[in-house]
Amino acid sequence: MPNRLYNILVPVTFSGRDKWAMAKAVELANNFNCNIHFVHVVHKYIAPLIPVEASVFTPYESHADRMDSYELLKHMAAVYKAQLCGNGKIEISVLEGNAGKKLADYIRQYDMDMVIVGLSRFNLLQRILSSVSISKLARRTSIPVLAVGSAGLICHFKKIILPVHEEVPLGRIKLATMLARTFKSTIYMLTLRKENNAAEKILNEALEIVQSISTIPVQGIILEGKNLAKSTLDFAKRINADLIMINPLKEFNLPGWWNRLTKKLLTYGSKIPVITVEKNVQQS
Amino acid sequence: MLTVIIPALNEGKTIASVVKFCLAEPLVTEVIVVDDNSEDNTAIIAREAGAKVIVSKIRGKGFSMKEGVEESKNELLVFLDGDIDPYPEGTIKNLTAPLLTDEADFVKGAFARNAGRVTELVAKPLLNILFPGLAHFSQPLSGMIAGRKSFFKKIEFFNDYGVDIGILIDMYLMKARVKEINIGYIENKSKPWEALGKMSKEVSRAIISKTQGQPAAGLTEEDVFSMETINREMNKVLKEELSGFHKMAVFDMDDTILKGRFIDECAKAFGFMPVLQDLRAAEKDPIILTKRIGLMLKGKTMDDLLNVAERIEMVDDIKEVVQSLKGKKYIVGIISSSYTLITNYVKQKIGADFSLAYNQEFIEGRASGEVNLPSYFFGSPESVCGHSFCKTNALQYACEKYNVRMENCIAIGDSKDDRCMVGHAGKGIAFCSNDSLLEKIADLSIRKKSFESLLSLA
Repeated sequence: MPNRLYNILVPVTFSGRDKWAMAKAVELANNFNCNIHFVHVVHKYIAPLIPVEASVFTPYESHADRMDSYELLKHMAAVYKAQLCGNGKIEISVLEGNAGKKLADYIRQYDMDMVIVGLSRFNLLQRILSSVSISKLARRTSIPVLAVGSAGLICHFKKIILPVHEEVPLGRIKLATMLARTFKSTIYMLTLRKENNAAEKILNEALEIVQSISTIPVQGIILEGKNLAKSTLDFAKRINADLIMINPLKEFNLPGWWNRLTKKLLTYGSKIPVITVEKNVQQS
Repeated sequence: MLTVIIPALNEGKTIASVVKFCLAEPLVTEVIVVDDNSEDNTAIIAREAGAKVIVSKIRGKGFSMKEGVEESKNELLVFLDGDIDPYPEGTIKNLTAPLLTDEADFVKGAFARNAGRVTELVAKPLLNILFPGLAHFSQPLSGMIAGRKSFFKKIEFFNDYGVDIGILIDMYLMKARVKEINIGYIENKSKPWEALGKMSKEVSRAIISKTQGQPAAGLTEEDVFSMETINREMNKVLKEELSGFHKMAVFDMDDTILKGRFIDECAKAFGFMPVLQDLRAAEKDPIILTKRIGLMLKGKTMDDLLNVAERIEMVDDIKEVVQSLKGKKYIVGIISSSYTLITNYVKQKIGADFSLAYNQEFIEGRASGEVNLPSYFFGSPESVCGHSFCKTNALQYACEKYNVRMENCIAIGDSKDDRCMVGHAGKGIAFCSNDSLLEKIADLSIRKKSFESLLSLA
C-alpha cells in the first residue's frame, strides 16, 4: 500500500489542458514532498490512420521536434519549479513513439506513483485523437490516473467519493485512506440499492476495511438509481465533493446509448477531479 | 640499523612469515612483536621465528605501538601489520630509504588496493577541511609506517582505529618532514561492514580532536557550521536514499509462526481456559484485555512459560524461510501481541533479527501479573494508520529503526489484529487466516501451513 507519493507523472501535450494537470501535480508535490515528471511524447505518423512513424523518413525533422519540445518543457519546469515549496524536484523528458506505450514504459522504469492528466470537456473527436487514454493507461500500468479539468483546481480533497460495485475496491480504499490521511478528508462510500442486500454487505465490508486500517471518518451511503456512474456524479455534485475514485470498468460508464457506445467513463463527464485505479490483488 | 615493530592480535597464521620477512632485510637488527594478549599462539610462533616478543599490558594497537617504541634499541623504527602475507619485496627498504637519506622524518606506506570506504568517505574529506596539508595522502589510514624514534616518543597514540591517522597528524603538527611512499600491491582484506561504523567514528574523532588547541588548523566558526550543515544534509539524503534498498519481513507469532496461541496453551496448561474465554467475550478494549490476561499469569515462573512455549509446534519451514529471506537481505522480525519473553525465545529459535511485543513483568523470576505496553505500539501524530494502539505503529517504529520504507516491508499475519499491519505493509500476507477481511486486504493469501510461497513475493 502506498503510504505516500514519491513520483508524479504529467504527460505534456503542450495544449491548454496541461496547466491544470501541472498545477494539480504541484499541489500534490507540495503536500507529499514528491517529484514531478513532465514527459512529452513526440508522436507523428506519416499520414493519419497509417501507423508508421514519420521519424523513419524524416529523422532530422523529428530530432528538431524533440529539441523544440525539450526547450518548451524546460521553460515549463522553470515556471512551476518556483511554485514548489518542498524537497520535490521537476524532471523533464522527451520520448518518441506511441504515447501510451512509451508512457507506460516510463512509469514502470521510474516507479511513478500517480499520473495526472488535464481534461477538456468531453469531445469525442478529441478523445479519439488524444494520445493518452485514461482507462487504458490505468489498466496498463496499475497506477492511479487522476484527471483534472479546469474546475478541479482546489488545494485539498476534503470529501472523497468512493463508489462501490460488486467487489470490495481494495486498491481504491488504500489510496483513499492515504489521501484522506494527508488532507484530513472524509470518505463517502456509495453503492446502489439492490434487492438481495448484496450491496449493503459489500458496503459494510468496505467500511470495516477502512476502519481496520485507519481512523479516517467514513460514511456509507446507499443510493437509489440504475446507473452507478450517474448516481455517483449526482451525489458528488450535491455534497460538493472534491474527488471521485473509480475503476475503469463498464459500471462507471455514463448512461445512454451514445455514452455506452463511446465507453464514456464518469471521468469525462465530471467537473470534479476523478482518479481511475485499476484493481490489482494477488491471491494464491 | 632498524627496529621493526609488529603489533599483533591473534595472528598465528601469518606472524611467522612476517617476522622472517623482516629478518631477511640486512638493515633490520631487531624485530619486536608486541602481542596484544592473543588467544591463539601468536607469541610462541613469533618467538620461534626469531622475534623479540613482549606482551602488551593493555589491549589496543596504540598501547602496543607505544610499548614497542619504548622497547626498541634503534633510532629508526618501522611499523608493519602482522596479518599481511606476503609483503611486496623491498617494503622495508622503500619505507626507510627517505629516512636513511635524511629526506624525511616520517614515512607513510601506501599500497595499491581498492579505495578504503572509511578513507574515502571520512578521513580524506575531513583532512581536506581540517588539515589541507595532508589532503594529498592517498592512504592516510595505512598502518605501514617508518620514522625516527625521537619523534615517536613525543606523540600520543590513540588506542583504537584512530591511531594511524593520529600519528600522521601529530607528525605533521610537529613539523616533521612527512612523505608517502608507494610500496607495491598488497592483498588486504576489507573490513566487514559491521566494523565500518566504529572505524568511521574513531577515525573522525581522532582527526577532530587533533584540531583542538591547534591554531594552525585555523577552524573558523563558519568552518564548523559548514561541516555541520554538510554532515546533516548528507546524513538526511543517505538515510532517505538508502531506505529504498533495505527490506524487512515481519511475522505475527501466534497462529502464524507457532501452530497455536501461546496464551491459549497457557490457559490449557494452568487451567484458566473458561476464565480466558469469558474475558475475551466480555472485554472489547484491547489494552484492558491484555492487562487482564496478564494477571492470569501471575506467579508463573519464566521456566513455566518457556516450557509452554516450547511445547507449541512451529510451522515446519519457518527456519528455512527466515534464512532464505535473510539471504535476500531482508531484516526479519516478529511483531506480536504476546510477551517479549516468548517472542525473544521464538526469535532465537528461528534466527530472526528482532521482536516487538508486550513486556510481562517478572519479579524474582516470577510473573508479577503486570504487563507493560511498549510505547511503540501506541499511535503518534506520525502514525500512518492513526490507531491509538496498533501493530502498525510497532511496524512503523521498526521501519524507522532499521531505516526501511514501509513499501519495502512484507507483513504476515492471521487475525483481525493483523489487518492494519498487513494492509499498510508494501506486501501483506494472510496466513491460514479465518478472517475473510484480512484475506481481502492481503496481497497474498496462504492457506497451507507453509511459508514457502511468500518467498515468491520477496
